[in-house]
Amino acid sequence: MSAYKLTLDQARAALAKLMEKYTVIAPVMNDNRLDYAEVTDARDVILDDRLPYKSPKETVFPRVENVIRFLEGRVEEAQDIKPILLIGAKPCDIAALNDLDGIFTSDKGKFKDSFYINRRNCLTVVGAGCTSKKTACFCDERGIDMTFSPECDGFLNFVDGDILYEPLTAKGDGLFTGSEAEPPKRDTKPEETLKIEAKEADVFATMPWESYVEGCIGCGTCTYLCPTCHCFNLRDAEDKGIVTRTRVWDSCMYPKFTLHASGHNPRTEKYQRFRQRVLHKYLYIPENYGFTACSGCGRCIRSCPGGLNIRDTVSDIMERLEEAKE
Amino acid sequence: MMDYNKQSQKLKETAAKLLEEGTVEAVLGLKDNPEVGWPTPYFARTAGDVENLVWNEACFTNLANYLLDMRDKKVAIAAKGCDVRSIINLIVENQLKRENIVIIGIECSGMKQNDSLAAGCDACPSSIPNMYDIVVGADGSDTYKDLEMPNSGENVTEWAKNTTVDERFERFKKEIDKCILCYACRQACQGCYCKACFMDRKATPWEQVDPDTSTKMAFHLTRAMHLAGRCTDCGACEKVCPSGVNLKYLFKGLSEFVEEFYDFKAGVDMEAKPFANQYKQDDQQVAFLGGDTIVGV
Ligand code: SF4
Ligand code: SF4
Ligand code: SF4
Ligand code: SF4
Repeated sequence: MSAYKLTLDQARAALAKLMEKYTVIAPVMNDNRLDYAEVTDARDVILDDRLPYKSPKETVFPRVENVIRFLEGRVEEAQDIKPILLIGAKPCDIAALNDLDGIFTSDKGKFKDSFYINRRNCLTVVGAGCTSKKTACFCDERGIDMTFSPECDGFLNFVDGDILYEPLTAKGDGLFTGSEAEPPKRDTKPEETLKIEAKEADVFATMPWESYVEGCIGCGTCTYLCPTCHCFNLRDAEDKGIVTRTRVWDSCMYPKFTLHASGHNPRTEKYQRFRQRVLHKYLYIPENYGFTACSGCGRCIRSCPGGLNIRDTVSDIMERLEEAKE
Repeated sequence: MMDYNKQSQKLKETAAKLLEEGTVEAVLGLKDNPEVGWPTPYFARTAGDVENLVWNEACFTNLANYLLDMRDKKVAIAAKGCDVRSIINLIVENQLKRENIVIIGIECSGMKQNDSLAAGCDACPSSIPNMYDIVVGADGSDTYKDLEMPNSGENVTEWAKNTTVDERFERFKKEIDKCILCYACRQACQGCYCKACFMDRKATPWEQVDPDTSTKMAFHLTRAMHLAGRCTDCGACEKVCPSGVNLKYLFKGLSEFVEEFYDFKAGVDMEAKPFANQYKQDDQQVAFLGGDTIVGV
C-alpha cells in the first residue's frame, strides 16, 4: 500500500468524521497531563513526540468490566461494543498491545479470553512515531523501533509539519486520505539487548532482591500505568436479585495480592512482590509464551515515588548472571 | 539563602561519622534519580555509601514513612520540617521510638517539584525543623538561619465559608475524576500506616474495590476523616499522585478545624495529647453538632 499526505488540519477534519463511526481514543490533555482518552472534540487531539502518562491498555482491558450478569433463569454475557479507534499509539504501546494479544488470545497461550478478544476485534490501532527518547525510556534496549511499528492497522508519520498516513491492514485502509506519496524509509529495528536468559533457580533466591526494593511504598502505581500488566480479579456483587460478575484490575505490588483464603500469604514482603513483577515480565512470560512482556516505555520508572527501576534491576541481574558464568 | 552544596557536604560528613562510629545502622536520605526527575529514597549503610546522598531543592520526599520499616533499628534520617512533623506524629502515636532515631535536621525554606513550589511547602510554618539532634543550617553550618517562608497556603476554612455546596462539590468531583484509585497517596502518607485499611476491608480479602465515583468518594472522604488532627501537611499525598489529584485541601481544612476547636496541631509537640484522645466536659462537639461551622459541609 502507498501512503497519503495530508496537513494536521485535514487529519483533524478526517478524525471528526471518524468519530461518527468510532469511539476515538487519542492523546488529549487532561488537567496538565497527556492521557489516552476518549475524544470529544477532534481539535483536542495532540499528535507530537510526548508519551501519554497512562498506557492505552484500557481500550482492550478496562479497569472495570462487567462480564456476566446472572438474571432470573438466564445468564447474560458480554455486551456489544462500538468500534474503537485508537489514534496516536506509540510503538512501545503497540508492542505492549501485542504482548497482551499473546497472553489473552494466542494459540500458544493456555487461555483464550473472550472478553478481551471481543474488544480487540472492535479495535483499530493507528500508531504514531517518537522523534526522541524521553527520560527513562528504554524501548531500544527492548528491541523496539521508536519511529515506527508495523504491528498496527495504520501509521502516522510526521514529515515537515505534515502528516504521512500509511495504511498497513485492510482495517486501516481509507481512514485518512490525501495526495499519494511514498512511505518514508525505515531504520532497522534495534536489537533486543535487555532480557533475562536464565532458569528460575538462577535468579529467584540468588539476586539481591531486598536491596532493589528499599524505596518501594507498595502503591501499585507502576502496575496500573504499565501497558503489559494484566492481573485481574473477578468479583460477584448482588443488587436487587441480579448478580453481576465484574472483572477489576489487581496488582502484584499490593500485600493482599496472594493472600489465600486459608489466611496464608506466600508474598508478605515487598521484595517478594517486586520479584514477582520483574520475573513475571522477564522470565515467566518468556517461558510460557516466548516473549518478554515489557515494552521499555519507562512509565513504571518515571512515576515511582520510591525510585525503583526495572531497567536497572534487569541489567544488574544480567551482570550478575554473566559474573556467575565466569 | 540556601546553600545546597554546603548542606550536602555537611550531610555527607555527618552521615559518614554516624556510620563509622556505629551510632546507627543506616542513614536514610535521598539519592539522585534523573529518570524520575528528582532524588528518591536511599539508605546509606556504609561510610562509602554516603557519597550517594544528595541534598538539593528537589528533595521534597517525606522520608518519615520509611522509618516504620526499621522501627527496632537505630537509624539516622535527613529530615526537613515536614519529615520531622511526621516523625513527631508517629512517635505520639507509638509507632516510632524517639531513642531509635537520630534526626539530622536540615533547614529548608521550601522545595520545588516540576519548577513550582512542592505541595505543602506553601503552608510550612518554619525553615527550622521543630525537633533535631544534629543541625544542618541553610548555609551548611551548625546554626539555623530562620529563613522567611513562602506562607502562601490556602485558608480552606475561609474558602469553605465563601462557597456554595455545589461549588465545593464541583472542586472535589473534578479532582476525584482524575483519580485511578491506585492508593499511592495512602501509601505515601505517614498517617496511613494501618495494616488493614478500611478500603481493603470493604471487600473480602481477595477482591479489589471498584474504582467508581462512589468508591472514590468513600476512599478520599474517609481517609480525610481518619487524618483529622493527624495530617502533618507534608504534601506527600499530592507529590506522589501519578494523576495529579489535588485533594490535600480536604486534609488542610480538617487541620484548621482541629486547631480552631481543639487547639491541637499534629507534629508540633511530642508531649501534647492527640486531639482525639482528649476529653473535655465543655467540648462544644462542633464536629458532630456544629452545623454550618463544619468545614466543607
Ligand atoms: S515499585 Fe514504585 S510505583 Fe511500584 S509499588 Fe513500589 S513504590 Fe509504588
Ligand atoms: S514494566 Fe515498566 S517499562 Fe516495562 S512495559 Fe511496564 S511500565 Fe513500561
Ligand atoms: S495517588 Fe492519586 S490516583 Fe492514586 S488513589 Fe491517590 S488520589 Fe487517586
Ligand atoms: S494526608 Fe497528605 S499532607 Fe497529610 S500527612 Fe498524609 S500525606 Fe501528608
